Amino acid sequence: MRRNERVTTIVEPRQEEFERKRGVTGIAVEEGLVHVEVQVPPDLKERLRVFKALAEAGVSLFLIKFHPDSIHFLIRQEVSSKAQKVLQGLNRPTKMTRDCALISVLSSAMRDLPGVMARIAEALYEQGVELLETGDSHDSVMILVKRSDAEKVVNSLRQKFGL
Amino acid sequence: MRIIVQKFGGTSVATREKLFIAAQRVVRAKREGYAPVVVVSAPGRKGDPYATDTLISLAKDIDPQVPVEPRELDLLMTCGEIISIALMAQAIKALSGYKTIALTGGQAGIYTDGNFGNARIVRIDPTPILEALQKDYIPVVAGFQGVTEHFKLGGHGQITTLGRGGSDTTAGAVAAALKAEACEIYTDVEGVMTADPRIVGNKAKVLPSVTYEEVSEMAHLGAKVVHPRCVEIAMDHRIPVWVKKPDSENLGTVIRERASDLPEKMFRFTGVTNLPYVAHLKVHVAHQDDLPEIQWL
Repeated sequence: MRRNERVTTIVEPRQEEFERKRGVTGIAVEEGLVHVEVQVPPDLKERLRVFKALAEAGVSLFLIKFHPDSIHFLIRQEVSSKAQKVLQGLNRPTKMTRDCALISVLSSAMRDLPGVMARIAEALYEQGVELLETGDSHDSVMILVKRSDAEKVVNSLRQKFGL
Repeated sequence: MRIIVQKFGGTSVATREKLFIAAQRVVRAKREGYAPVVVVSAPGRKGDPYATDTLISLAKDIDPQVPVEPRELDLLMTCGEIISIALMAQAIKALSGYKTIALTGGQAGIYTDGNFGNARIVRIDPTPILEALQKDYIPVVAGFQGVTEHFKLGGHGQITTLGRGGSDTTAGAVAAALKAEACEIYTDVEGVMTADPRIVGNKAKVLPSVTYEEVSEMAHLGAKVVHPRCVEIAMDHRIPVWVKKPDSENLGTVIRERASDLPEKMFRFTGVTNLPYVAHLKVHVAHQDDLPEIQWL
């Protein structure tokens, strides 16, 4: 198990062959996250006010999603008070879910690999875990769960992907 | 021996004139004291007579109702690169008098799995290339291809292709196997750009330096400069990759572990990419108490 300042890699990709193995090769977990849902109408100017205010306060956002009546994003625990203050100042109803964990399933060329989300969804369903948010990139599929659910999700994912 | 791998894409070897410009790069490297190893793609782009897509359509046109076997398609597709290695070897020799040797992927010691059309390199035996270098030859290696080590039907040595961007992959892999000083990717732009110049014109700037992670992500998200497989191999084996234009004196872009023009841990914006031809789907799902069991094969 490898740990850097924020992310614990539960199963690390192994480089045994010349070229990287295809398929899922690892799982990483980042804890200490807060999921924020801000009610904002589908008006880009209003949404821009939210982003600008948070940026000016030095709050960094990630896993940002636009929903019809709200925007969702993740922030780190240590800036959650600052973010809350900014959003209260904008008079925007906000829901914050603290103690979240972002679990990433890792694969090079993830977008050429079908079936990953299906297995993840199956793992979550079988474990009865609430999925708070999802995301993906060129080398990962990410799921946000409550920190208390992270261990059983990771164990189920290891089984599903043969890690 | 200061080994450097120099890869030239299809447009760089499409015409006699461009072939000599590319060959001049190789000759210059040799005269500067390097031991160049050249990797080439099939000449030209789609529509040109020996380009990969043209060769594929030759087979499919036999009878569009009958699918072409992947093994046979790989045999056909590798012809373009084989034409290029012979022509490039001849161009270098004609320009400089240096000894050259054209090597197919298999002859160069590139061994793959048996996944025709998208083979993965399992190992490279650098012996043939090293022996050529030691005898003062300039090896010219066919990109995009290798041979199998184990294959049940036909036995050892089935010709395979490495998938799209395979010549970049060959270049990175050969550079790693030889522990080359650098891998140079010659293309039709000055380097890794901050945006697609076909969209923003000359507002796009050349990045002097970029990290493996940055360029890998850019490549996956639509930037067409270096194939991400090449970047991954270079990253895993710590080979600096240069992206340049063959007929330009500009330095181009170096891809390495850390952007050399910035202090460590400084943040910056690298570029804007676009990935066209994607579809956005919205699926409405009714609540179900029981899901059918999924049978995984």
